[in-house]
Amino acid sequence: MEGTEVRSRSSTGNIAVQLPDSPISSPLRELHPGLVGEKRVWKHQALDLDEVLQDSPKCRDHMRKIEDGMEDFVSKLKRMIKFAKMIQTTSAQLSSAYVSFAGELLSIGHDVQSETIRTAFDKFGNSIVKLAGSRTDMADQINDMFVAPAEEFIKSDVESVRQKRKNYDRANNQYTNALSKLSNLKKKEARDNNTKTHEKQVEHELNDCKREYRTESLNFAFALNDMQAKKHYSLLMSSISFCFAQCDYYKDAWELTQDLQRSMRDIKTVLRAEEAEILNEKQELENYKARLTVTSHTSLTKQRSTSMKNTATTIQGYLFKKNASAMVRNEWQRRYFVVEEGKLLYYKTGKETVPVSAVDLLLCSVKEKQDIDRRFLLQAEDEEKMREWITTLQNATANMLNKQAPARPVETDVEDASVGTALQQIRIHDESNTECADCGSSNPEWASINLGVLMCIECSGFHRSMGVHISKVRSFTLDKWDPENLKVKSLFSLPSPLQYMLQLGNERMNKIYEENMPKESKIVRECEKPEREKFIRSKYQERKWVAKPSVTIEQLSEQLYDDILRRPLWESVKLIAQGAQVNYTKESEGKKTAMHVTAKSGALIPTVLLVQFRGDINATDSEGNVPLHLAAARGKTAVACYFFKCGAKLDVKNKEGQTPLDVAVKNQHVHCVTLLRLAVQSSDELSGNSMGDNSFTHALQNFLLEAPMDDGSENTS
Amino acid sequence: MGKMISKLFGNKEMRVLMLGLDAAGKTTILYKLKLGQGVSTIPTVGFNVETVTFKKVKFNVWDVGGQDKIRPLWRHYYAGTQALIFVVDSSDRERIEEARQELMRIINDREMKDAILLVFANKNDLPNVMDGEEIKEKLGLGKLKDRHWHVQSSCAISGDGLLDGLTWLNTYIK
Repeated sequence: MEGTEVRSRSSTGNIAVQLPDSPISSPLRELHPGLVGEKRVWKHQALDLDEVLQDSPKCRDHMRKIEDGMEDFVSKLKRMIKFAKMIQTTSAQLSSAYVSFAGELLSIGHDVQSETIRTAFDKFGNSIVKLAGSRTDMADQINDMFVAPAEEFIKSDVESVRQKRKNYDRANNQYTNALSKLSNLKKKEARDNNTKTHEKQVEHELNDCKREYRTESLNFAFALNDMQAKKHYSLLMSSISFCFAQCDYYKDAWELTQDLQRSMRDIKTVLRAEEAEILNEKQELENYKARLTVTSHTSLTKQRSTSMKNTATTIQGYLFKKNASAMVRNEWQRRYFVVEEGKLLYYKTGKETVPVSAVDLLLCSVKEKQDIDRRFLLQAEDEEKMREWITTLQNATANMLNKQAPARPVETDVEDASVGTALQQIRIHDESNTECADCGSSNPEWASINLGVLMCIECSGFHRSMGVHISKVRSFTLDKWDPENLKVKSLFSLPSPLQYMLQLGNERMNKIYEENMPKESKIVRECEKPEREKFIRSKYQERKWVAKPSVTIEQLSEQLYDDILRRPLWESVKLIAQGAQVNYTKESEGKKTAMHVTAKSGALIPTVLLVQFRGDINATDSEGNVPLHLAAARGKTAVACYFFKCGAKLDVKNKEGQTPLDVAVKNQHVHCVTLLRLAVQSSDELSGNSMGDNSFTHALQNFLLEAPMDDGSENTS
Repeated sequence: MGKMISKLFGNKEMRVLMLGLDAAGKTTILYKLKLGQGVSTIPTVGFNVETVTFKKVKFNVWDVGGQDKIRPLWRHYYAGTQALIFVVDSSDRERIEEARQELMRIINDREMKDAILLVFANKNDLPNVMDGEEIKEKLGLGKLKDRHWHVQSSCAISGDGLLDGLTWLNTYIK
């Protein structure tokens, strides 16, 4: 072996002959004793260690190639790592996108009504989530199986080869230096002992270097061999793991989809059925739509408006609303309006759930367009619609007004029923009261509480314009009909207009006021304002059509005086209409008026009649008594109260120098005394003569509400 | 914006609430002021509102129905009212006490404490009416404290006294 080496070296060149042989071979033998004589072929080794020791250029070139191959491999491996990482991140992104996708699918599924469809959505969503999950697992495995080992390989194995290369280079340099040093010494001519000693020393050093160089070169070659072998099989191992991970993933996916396919087929059948159903319905709906288009728009609305005529209090739909700001170009904007529960709700787009504003219809009035500022100026699609809206809005307001409970301290609780009762009572009592006394409109809700007739709101306007001395107008729905008077108990506050009206009514009054009326003069519901006004004034103010009396006014007046308590109320009205003087005084009976008579007997309703027709409540008889004196003398508290309410003088003294209060005290009528005392005090209070705090007025009001009934001699019917 | 412009041009505004018993003549007064002519009215179910410009002052006049059951709604219109016009039928002696009670209820409301009070003793063309002095007494105006008030006899049909009333309101404009 040794011989072979020397031979080959000597054959390559002269230099080799000069090299000392033995010192090299012996340390090698010491270092690798087992190697000598054991030449075997290494299957997987790229470098022959023996050749490395020979350090031939061929071998060096071979080493360099292997080294270059390693570096090349490393840079390729690094790129692979980069791509593997890219696979990892993108599959993470993909997975998260799938999960989000599945999340939306699931949330859609939760809103679905149908049970089958909901479970289907659930199933698909969850499957996608599972798939994404196993993809994430795979990505994690790529990291564990491939990236991490590869990085470790670069970090430790490759680095150690590089380190060994450095060591080898260093040893090589040292060896080369030592060689050149020795050859320089040998070239010198003069050789003394000193030099020889030095030469020996250098030679020794050279041997050391050579030994080290050999060791390092062997180490390096060994590492290179190792690397060369390892790089392929370890990479392949990693790749196998990588592919296993892929396989697992696809296996999972396959199993999942396999399972899914079955349910997909089931769902498909269900869906087909449902689709058919939907198509069917769509077809029907289309037919219906076609019918709707054909049927004229107006006829539809007409149907609706007639069906809800006058009663509807709710409506909703689009109207055009005029923009409040003049800055905006597009003045009319389509908005959605709803009328319900007495409120006008206004939505801007129809999308919002809370209306932009809600207007209390109690505080609203609705009118056809007038040239004035309004909160809302609205436009309906057509005339028909507009009417419908206006009526409904008015109904809603009226409805709320009727519901409005009075929240007042002084008044007693008013039951809605009693109001209804007043109107119902008077209609039931006399059927003629179901039509306006003047124009014949149905269901009049207004009344003249002195003329005793019911009329519509239009006619009531003209009644009011004549003044209260002709007609006193009240509403059955918007005014209170002193319901406490409907109960028998207290007859104290105002006399009930209802009791009075029940004795008159449309039929009887029209007989009086229209007795001589030519038929063509009668007005109807559709009459214009001027015509209406003329008729009403002729009828009640001029009393144009009242039958002419066959007797003198004097006689008529006497009749009124004599029979006021005996006749039905309406006959007295007729006498007055014919011209009887309400304030006629009968000489033979102490210059009394009819009112003295009714006051004396406590007949409230005839008293009311006389007052309503301008009877003088302060008329004095020959004794100097006003009617109040007479009521007080007999304890007719209800009548006395009525006189007070109508503004009768309280301080009138009769010829005995007594005021009504004095008379009541003298006759010991307790209620009357209380009433008149409170009345006197409260009028002092009001005229500012005393500095009181209206306590008497309040006391009087309470007394009027709570006092017990009169002592009985009501004589009205 | 509108308010700013009107301030710049020296226009003044006043929010006026016109109340009173039913059939006192509120709506007739409102439209006489607005249109300059008498109109035939029907009972007001709800309210009317008009702007009347007089001597460069813009009066926003709210006329609310006076029927018993509408009266509880009056308070909804109190907020921001600078002047109350209380209309009385001066021929209706029977209900002048009722009118007084309603008037007191209005002006005792906290929201109305700064409003000045103009009383129209309306329908003065009718026979046997109460004059301004009597109305003042019957309404108990003499006892009012911290209140500018004025009674103006008027006739809505002829317009008699209406502008005198507005002139009085004008003197209190800020």
